[in-house]
Amino acid sequence: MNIIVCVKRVPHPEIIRYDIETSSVKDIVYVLNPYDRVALEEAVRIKEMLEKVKVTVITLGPPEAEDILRFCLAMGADNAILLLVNSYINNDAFATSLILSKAISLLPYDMILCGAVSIDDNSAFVGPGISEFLNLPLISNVTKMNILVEERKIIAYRRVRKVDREVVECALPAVITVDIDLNEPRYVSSEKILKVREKEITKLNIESLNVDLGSIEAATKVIRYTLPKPRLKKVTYFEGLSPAERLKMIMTGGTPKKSSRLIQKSPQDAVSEIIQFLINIGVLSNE
Amino acid sequence: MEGEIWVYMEHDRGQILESSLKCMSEGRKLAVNLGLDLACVIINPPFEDIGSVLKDYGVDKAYIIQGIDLEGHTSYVNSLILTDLLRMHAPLVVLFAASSEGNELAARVAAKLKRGLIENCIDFEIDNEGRLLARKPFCGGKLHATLTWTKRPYIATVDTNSLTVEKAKEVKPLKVVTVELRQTFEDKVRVVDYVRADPKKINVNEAEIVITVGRGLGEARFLKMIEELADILGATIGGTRPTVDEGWIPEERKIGSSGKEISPTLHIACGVSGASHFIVGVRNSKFTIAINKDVSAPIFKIADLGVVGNLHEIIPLLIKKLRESKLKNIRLK
Repeated sequence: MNIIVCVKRVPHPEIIRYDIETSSVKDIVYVLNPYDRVALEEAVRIKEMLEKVKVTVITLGPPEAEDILRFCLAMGADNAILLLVNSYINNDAFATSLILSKAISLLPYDMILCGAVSIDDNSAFVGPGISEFLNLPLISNVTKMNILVEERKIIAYRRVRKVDREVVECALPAVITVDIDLNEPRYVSSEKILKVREKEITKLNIESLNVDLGSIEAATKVIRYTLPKPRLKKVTYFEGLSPAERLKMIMTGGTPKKSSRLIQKSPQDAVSEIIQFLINIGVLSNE
Repeated sequence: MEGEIWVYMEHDRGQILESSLKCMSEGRKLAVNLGLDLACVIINPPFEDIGSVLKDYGVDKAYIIQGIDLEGHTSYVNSLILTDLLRMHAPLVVLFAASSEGNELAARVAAKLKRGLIENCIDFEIDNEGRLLARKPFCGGKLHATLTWTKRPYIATVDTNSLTVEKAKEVKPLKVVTVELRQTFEDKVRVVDYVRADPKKINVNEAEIVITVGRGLGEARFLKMIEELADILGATIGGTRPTVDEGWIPEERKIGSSGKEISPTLHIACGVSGASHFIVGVRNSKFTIAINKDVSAPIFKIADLGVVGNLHEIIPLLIKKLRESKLKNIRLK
């Protein structure tokens, strides 16, 4: 079985910052997108459990994106492919999915795994995008999965609307996007990374994919990055707070105003009030 | 700019989702700003009288698609239907609530139409050149990114977590466009079952009911009673930073600016005073009950029901009363 895992490098969210003086983004340290790490972990676990499984990781980016591919090899991937993009292509999620699809279509595959979301731009496009462009079934936001090798089928639990889970089944090949809760990715030691330092990474120019580059055009473009400006709510000021805390509150958008009701009653009466409230808001019912 | 502003309405168990109604409020703002018509799209509406359901939201037009058997299908089928409808009517903007289903459906539709998608938008504006711009959080909200689309329809999903449902001031006449579909669709993915995840195991930011504890709980051993209450209500437990530091509550259940931000239907704060860094994490809860012995605790400011009293008396009594009554959380099986 051939598993392809699509990975992306993202700026470490704790380190990146916005420089007001130059109006630019600073301190970018790239890491493997945590959701993609979960996807790769799942692929490696499948490889360890079943026979004849090959895991290929693929990413799109500049030559420096090789670093995260080495990390993936250290985690247990067999092959790594780097699709080198020319700087003139402004690759948004749309163009990325299109290019990845072209590259994947040249490879053998039974399953394509992607992280459900990339944590930098909060985009969940690539999985559905590849499924559309390659005309493959899609199972998104998977929290648990099981592969039936004989039947070439997958059974998966997927997150729909908060606590609801849908159990779905589908014949392979398919595109699967994984939820962060699917597994706990393994620790990758520096020795492991050192061990794969000589391993070959396949580098392809996207021109070699035989695609009409003119047809690959970003469908969205970034106008600017700015400091966060929260959506203004009806601000409730807190008299009990220190000026610093009040300022923090206002800067993060404040809180919606509530028509609160405060009761000071005996425990019995207080409990009756709470129960009545729970009935009124529809949490509890007699049915 | 010409064309309509469309909002896709998600529904579940016979009701339009609140996130979709919030998205509608955002759509209406955009429609008013641009002087365009606001339209909503509903596939297989679970109610007869569309007009009365939509009358409060200032909708000009409703596209109703009905007659399809969606049983056992995924959003793939919805995306086929919606793509056809978009090709036919060519609206200017299409908005979805940024739920996992909304994001997926929007992505499928955008890919089919070969158009761009901007997800989790928190604001829209028109710039000097007359372009529609969308702003969204970048890198976990450390920055904001402002983007635009290269071609219409402009497809976006809207982060509804911090929005409220706003009703329109006037009732507009509603034009209903009904599309009867009689074909069947083939979906390669089959839904075989629905299950509910165990509230004890899910993430706090996914839970519908969350009970949070603060240092006012006193000692770790009192968590037992909180767990009992959580069992009855089908709630998930979270805690303030001090309770996590004390080791009462695991790190991944920490709530506030240094932990998770939650937006449940109901939040019950027990012995939580309500420091601002905690409030940041819970302010988007739909309903809040706070129990605290200190009448001046800031938590009461954001509570719909504030109970001043000793939680060690109130909670055991609440558990007892709930056990005696036949009252149940209807969402629990």
